[in-house]
Amino acid sequence: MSDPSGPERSPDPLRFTILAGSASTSGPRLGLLTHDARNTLETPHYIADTSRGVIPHITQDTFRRHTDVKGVYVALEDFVEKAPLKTPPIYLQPTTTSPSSTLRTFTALPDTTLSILAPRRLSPIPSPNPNSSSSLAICTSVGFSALSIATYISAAAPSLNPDILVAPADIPHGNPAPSLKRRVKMLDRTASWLTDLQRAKGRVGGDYAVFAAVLPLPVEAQRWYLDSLLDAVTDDGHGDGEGHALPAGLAIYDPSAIPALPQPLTHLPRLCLAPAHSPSQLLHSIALGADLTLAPFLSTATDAGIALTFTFPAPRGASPESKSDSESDSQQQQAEKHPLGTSLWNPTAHALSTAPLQAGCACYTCARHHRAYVHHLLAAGEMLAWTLVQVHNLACLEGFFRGVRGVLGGEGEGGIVDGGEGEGGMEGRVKGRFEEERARFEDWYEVEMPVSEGVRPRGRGYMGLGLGSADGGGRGRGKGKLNGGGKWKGGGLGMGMGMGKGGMRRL
Amino acid sequence: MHSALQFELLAKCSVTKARAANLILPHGPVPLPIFMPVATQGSLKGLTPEQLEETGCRLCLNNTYHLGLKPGQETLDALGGAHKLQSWPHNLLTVVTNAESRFQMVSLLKLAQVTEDGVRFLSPHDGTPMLLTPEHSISLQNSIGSDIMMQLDDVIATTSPDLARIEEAMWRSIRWLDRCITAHKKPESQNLFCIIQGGLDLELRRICTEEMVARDTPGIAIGGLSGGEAKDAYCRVVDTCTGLLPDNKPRYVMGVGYPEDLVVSVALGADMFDCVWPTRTARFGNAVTSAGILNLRNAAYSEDFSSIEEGCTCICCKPLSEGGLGITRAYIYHLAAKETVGAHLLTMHNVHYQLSLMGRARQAIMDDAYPAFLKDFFRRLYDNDTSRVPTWVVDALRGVGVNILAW
Ligand SMILES: [Zn+2]
Ligand SMILES: [Zn+2]
Repeated sequence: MSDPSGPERSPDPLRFTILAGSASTSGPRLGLLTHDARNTLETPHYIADTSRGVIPHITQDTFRRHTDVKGVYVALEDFVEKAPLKTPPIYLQPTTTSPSSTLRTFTALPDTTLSILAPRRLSPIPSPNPNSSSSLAICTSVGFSALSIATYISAAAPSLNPDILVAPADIPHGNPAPSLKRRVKMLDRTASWLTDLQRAKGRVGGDYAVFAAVLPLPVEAQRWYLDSLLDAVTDDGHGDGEGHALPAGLAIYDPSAIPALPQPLTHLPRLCLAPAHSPSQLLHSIALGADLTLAPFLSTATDAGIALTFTFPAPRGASPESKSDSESDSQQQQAEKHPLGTSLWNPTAHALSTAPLQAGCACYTCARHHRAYVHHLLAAGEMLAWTLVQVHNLACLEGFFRGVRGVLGGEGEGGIVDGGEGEGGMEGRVKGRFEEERARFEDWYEVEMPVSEGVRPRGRGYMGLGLGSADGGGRGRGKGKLNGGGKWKGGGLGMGMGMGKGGMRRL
Repeated sequence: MHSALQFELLAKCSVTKARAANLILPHGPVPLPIFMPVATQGSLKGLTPEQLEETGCRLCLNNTYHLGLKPGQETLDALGGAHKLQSWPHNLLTVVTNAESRFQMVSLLKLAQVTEDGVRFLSPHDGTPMLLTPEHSISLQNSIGSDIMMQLDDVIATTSPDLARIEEAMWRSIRWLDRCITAHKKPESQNLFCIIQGGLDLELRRICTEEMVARDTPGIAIGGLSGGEAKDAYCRVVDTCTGLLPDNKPRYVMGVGYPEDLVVSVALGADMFDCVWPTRTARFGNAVTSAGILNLRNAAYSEDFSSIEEGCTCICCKPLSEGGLGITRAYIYHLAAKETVGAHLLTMHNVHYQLSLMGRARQAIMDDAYPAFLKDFFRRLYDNDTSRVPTWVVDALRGVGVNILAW
């Protein structure tokens, strides 16, 4: 969809078109996010989460060569340890890219990769300090701090210049049920920060597209705020640089808000920032109409030494039902569900296996290496283990999203569905087919990630803070269990040697 | 004895003892002199085999002792060896024990003993008693399938004052070589190198060199060094040994890797080197450059937007416009100790630095300009300050006809 508000302003480099599924009704949809200078993303699409500007374990050359990641999510709190005492180096990076972006140059992000900047990481560590009317409480690698909204806004242009800037939102992390009074504050601040941001953009310029927050509150509770996003447009009040255009997209913290969004906002691309802990949670967001999503379970699985092996649509053939024809016990069926991945720590399954991590996978890891090697690397505590698993897991997820788009595009039913309005039958059929496949996926696969017996790699800098441990840099040791919440159970953060289980052999 | 390699001597420096050669191994040719990165357990500090390839590496080390523990001999046999385990299409050299485990074993010798049988010691992992015999070390290396395998030797710290024990270890290493040769099942596809011992005693080194040379292994290593001995003593041992070695075989000095040690050892006639230091030190934020070691964890680099080393052609340092990544010191600082990717990037740079240093040395030898290369190297390293050049470097190079202070 091109700019509906019309006036003479250099066209935003970012545009979104809905190809199938409709803007007017909720539900899954197929779209195209294009950017003048970047990759085109077919949506629904996966956005890779980064830590300090990299996908964990993936060097920039491996990123270029062996991943198909088209967009990344970067948190400013990964870069501002010494602010405000010292200007963060990322603001100062000389750059020759066009449009110039210190963020892109500093992190050696390829020219074609779409960058999304937000103040906080996807699953922010709750700060003991509250947000204020002019700042967000953040957590850097050296501790809790505050990021002033003015700083965030002024850093966006001309220096950082991400492709998409997530507007600051006043979300009390760690408090899922804010009081009424707090909610009012949330709306007030988020609205006024957005206005500040839009005004600054009008004044300073900048090529970034603003994604406004949809807060993790019921839509009725934030109705006036959402309506205020539209006011600006109907006012047509941005000729003097004081007004603000409709945001270019929405950053949605709880996808259940999507079906109730006011109509004029529904054609905007939706970045879902609810942390998905499993593929079925991704499908849930997509079913509600998310266009871009992140999947923190990916790195959690990688760190646990789990190679993801799920596909969408789920495989056909020996389905749980047909297998249990003889014994139609529902518990039996439960037990026959298929795992979402495989723990490469398991010596009996993998120590001698020259099979790829996932049958038929064409990723670098599966094309050049085998399970036995990755198992060996894990057992030997070699860092390459996690790199190889991460490369595969990224490929698995890309495949999953390709499958989702295939179903939404009517693959197997005679090609892409025309987005013709009024063709309710067509829309309905695609939605129906997606729901059917989604149900089959949930039937076929287990809900939770498999258990990993291994040791995870060294923690990220900020991890210790979240786990309430003084030692954020140690290796977790022993039997970490990965549950649906993506948290590690059982394993402390000791300074183990990183040795896996399994006895030593004598020489 | 049988050899599975060809050694082509290409050039000899007309001043120093430096040589340039091609070493043709079962998995392809490698240029000498060469630095070999150490992938102890079958991987190099988080680098994919493809990334290691990209640094220019065609010969890297694995450790017999570690691969024997994990994944173990049965697994290696089932997979068809270490090349298949790590999908490495190029050459592998296996040390039985590298510097690290050698010193582990040295320190464990208090708890365990070396007998004529082999080395009996406690597993550093779980304390179980283990016996490593020459026959078993060869059997393991046959299972690994390394292109170059090393004999089991009796290693004594060079700093040991016990000359009798050093001499005993030397003679035992010779007897163990004979047992290794007898045990070696695949001489047509794997090259066994002997290891000259004898501590810092030049007479013992002479005797050992003669004995080892007589056994006619495809290549010859000088072992037991880089254990904290004085550098001048080290240089005398290398110089003495190379002086007695035939021209037509590769010479490998084990455990050496500091750039200044490499270029001096090449001048003394050595061809091959290995060391964990350049890769291990990356984890601590240390970048190896022509101007010395830069610790990029130092806040001074937090706003230094230059590449790790100006003009370096590694993938990290090369600018985007030349197909590189354009990684800056400031970004390594940002990642250091917080994301392993920072260490991986520095490891690629450091390995590339070491390999390209040897590549430039080789070119200089072929151009018969090695003395000038040495002068240029030390001038850059010590920022044109002759007073900073260590005495051992001055003396060692004077011994091979180069006055390094006259630049
Ligand atoms: Zn794969
Ligand atoms: Zn470099």
